[in-house]
Amino acid sequence: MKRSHHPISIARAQEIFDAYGASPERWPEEEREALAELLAHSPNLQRIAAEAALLDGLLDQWQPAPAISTRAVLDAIAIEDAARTPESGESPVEHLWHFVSGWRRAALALVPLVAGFAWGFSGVTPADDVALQEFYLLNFPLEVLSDD
Amino acid sequence: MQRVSRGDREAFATVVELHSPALEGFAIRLLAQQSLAQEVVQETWIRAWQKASHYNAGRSRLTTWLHQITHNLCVDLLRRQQHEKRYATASGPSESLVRSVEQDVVHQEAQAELTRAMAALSERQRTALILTYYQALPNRDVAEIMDLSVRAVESLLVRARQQLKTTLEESS
Repeated sequence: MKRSHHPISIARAQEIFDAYGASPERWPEEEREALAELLAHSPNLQRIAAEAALLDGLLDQWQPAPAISTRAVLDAIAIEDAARTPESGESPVEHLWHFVSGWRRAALALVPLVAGFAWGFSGVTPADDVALQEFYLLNFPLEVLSDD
Repeated sequence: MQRVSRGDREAFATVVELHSPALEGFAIRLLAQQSLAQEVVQETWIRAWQKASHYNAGRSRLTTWLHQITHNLCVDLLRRQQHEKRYATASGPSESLVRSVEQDVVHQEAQAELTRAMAALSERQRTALILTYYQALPNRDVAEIMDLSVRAVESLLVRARQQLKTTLEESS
């Protein structure tokens, strides 16, 4: 069964050869079938396609040989991972210090500050006897200091 | 890639095995130097490993995503090289590009001519041509990798092929 497709103009067909060359597998998928059909019936387009094929032939000569090995890539990944994760021989304190690096360290420093504000705004006051003890501790009795 | 994002090295090795030759071919043609291309591909895999969770299979094909990483690394490298050469030497960038091509990749005269002609293309023309012609990627994927419209990619391709044809005709 023949699939339906939108016909394309000669000008668009030429654009496709100029951009993608003569091999149908490189043509835009949605225009491939229409172009192949147009090409079969147009000697002018066949001439343009033949010119494009000449350049394709030259381009095909450039075939570098990839040589990178999967092993080398995996080794590089292992090295990179080792550089990013804490060493196994480090102490728990060092491990914690690495863990709380960067923004975590800043967040940790904010904890007592936030706790202080929370306590300050909560309206809770120390018990009376504690306040009295503090008062006596901080205000030394004058009679002890005097010579009398 | 889901398995890779969970740290599955075996799954990652399979992906590397499958896509490395294409990525290296792309980088060699774009940078025209195999040793640099291998460094770029290695860096591509490191980034893919670290950012595997960022890959969205619904948004783009894996090969497109990987080519995009390689392309960005190559472009950074080429721009850095150009910047360094601008201050270091008076010789044109394409001359040294051709020299390195001849040393590293090309062994035949016809290939040398072709690589010289390729090196004379702009970086964007060369990228569009390599991705479309050698990597055989659909035009939508090429447009996504280069962050351009399909029409813009097509016009780069037309200009690239036209210039290649002229250069090769003049040299023969």
